Amino acid sequence: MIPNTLNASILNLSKTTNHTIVIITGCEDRHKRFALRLQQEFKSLVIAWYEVDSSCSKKEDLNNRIERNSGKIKEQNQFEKLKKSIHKKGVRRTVKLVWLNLKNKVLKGDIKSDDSFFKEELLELEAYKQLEPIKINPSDAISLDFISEIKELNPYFLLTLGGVLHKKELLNSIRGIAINQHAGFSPDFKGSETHLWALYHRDILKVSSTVHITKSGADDGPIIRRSTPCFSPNDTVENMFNKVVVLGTELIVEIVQKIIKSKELQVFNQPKYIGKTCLSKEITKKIKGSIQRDFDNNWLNMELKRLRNF
Amino acid sequence: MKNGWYILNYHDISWEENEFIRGIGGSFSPNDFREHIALLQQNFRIMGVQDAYELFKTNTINEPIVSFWFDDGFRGNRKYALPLLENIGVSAAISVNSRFLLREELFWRFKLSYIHFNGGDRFLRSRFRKRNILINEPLKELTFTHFSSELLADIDTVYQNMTTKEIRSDAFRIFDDVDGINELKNKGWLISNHSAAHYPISENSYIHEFENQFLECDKVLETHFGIKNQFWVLPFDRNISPKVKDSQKSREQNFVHVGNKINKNNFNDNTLSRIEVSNLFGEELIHYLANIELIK
Repeated sequence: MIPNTLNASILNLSKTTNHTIVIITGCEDRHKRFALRLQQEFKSLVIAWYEVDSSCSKKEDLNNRIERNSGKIKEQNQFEKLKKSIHKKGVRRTVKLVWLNLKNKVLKGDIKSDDSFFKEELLELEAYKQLEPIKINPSDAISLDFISEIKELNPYFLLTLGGVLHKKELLNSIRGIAINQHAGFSPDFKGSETHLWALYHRDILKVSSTVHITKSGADDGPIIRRSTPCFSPNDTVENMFNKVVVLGTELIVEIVQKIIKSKELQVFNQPKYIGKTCLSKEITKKIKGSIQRDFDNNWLNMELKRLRNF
Repeated sequence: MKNGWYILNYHDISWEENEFIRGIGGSFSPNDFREHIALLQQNFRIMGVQDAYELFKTNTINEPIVSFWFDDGFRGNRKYALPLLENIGVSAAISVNSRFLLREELFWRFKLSYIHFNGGDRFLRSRFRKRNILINEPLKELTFTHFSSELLADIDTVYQNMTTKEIRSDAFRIFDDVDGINELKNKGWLISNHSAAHYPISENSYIHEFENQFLECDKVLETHFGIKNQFWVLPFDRNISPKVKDSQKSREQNFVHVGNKINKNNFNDNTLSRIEVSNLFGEELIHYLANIELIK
């Protein structure tokens, strides 16, 4: 669906017959599905797939390890960091910061998407894999070296799900268009865990997927498509999130197919000062608890019925 | 399970349920459909509609057989249901509305849903009030009870006022097009007639359009797909007028409805019953089908 409350404009993309695609994703199953689904649909047009993975060593660390052995770089461990903080900010402030950091980690709990949701489909999609993903550390994904690497590939499309916020220099270098899918209802809910904010506010219509032009800000580029998934009464919070992600991927597939046929694209500009950029740390255990209580009380089933009852 | 032919009725199989569909329902996500298939495989023999129909005609159904029948010609059926059914080597049936297919007219219930989710109920109610239509009923029910070409015009006027050309054009995205339906036909799917515009033509309020709507769609099926259609799939299937039976006597087409019954042998009144299942999840489906009655 196209958003009906935002101002539209027409974007004319550069004409070409060379529609190569570079994919950048995170490394969870939903990201793999995104990449494999694009490869299923666009086959050899996909020329590279980068998986941003924080467990992957930084290129700098790899280099440091070499230099450390020759005694050139002094390794900064946690104790060194603490000493530096006390020196800069004082004992009291450092203790407070350490305590807040610890408290957030305890309150935050752990929400992971239900990756078993994708297992069966991922097995089927493996048959369409064109490339193995190139693992890359988040720091490296925003480095000048990476930008040069992408420039050398010279893709028409840069398609992203998860990963990092990309630099302007990278985005401006894309021949055609950089598109991102966001598991949330932009502009109202941008950033992280936006489906949880929508559920916390019991606004199921904002448990939504937005596909937009990628900008250096979080999820704030002009919107191309925005729509809501098909929910079932027995969906869990995790299922709802997964459906949002899957929908976004399908919308991206449609958009890329459309752009390949016609270079004129209608986009919907997001108002600059409207909406919230959500941070993961704001989703506390209490908020998650409220959402879970709603689900335990059959809220989703009642809400889906209510929406149809007019 | 009782022996017989269970024709399961679905509408859209899709990850998406937007403002057009949300108020009306009928969408079923691909992962839920995948689960349905897995459960059905354990309890039934799954067959394509055309193959099962041949057995049905010759009174040779002696086991529980399941087929899939999708209504309204949604694009999602080809995108998501087709690959899942191809995996198990089975085709299905799809009934199309010619005006949606040709992008001539959007389904009026979808316009209603869009109007509702964009705060336009009050515009409809004020128009209905002027026609002396009592507006105390829920809108969805009221538009059935008082269905007429004037009511259709009211809905369309409000819809046009609330949308742009781009939104109206984008709305058709949920329906498949001629090329898409041809692809299904080439893959062995049965393409059938669900009337031109999905009005409640089997109800007394609009029965006068019954034959016109089906004949219009039949013509489109012949022109675009080379099909001599065998099946008239009744839209809505709520309060069926006795005049439908009269029409059935004079026609060679089979009339297909949602009777929520199992089709048994005794093919003698050219009617097929289907079972609505897209509101059932997981094991609920099997329990429901185990308790369905045979058509009498």
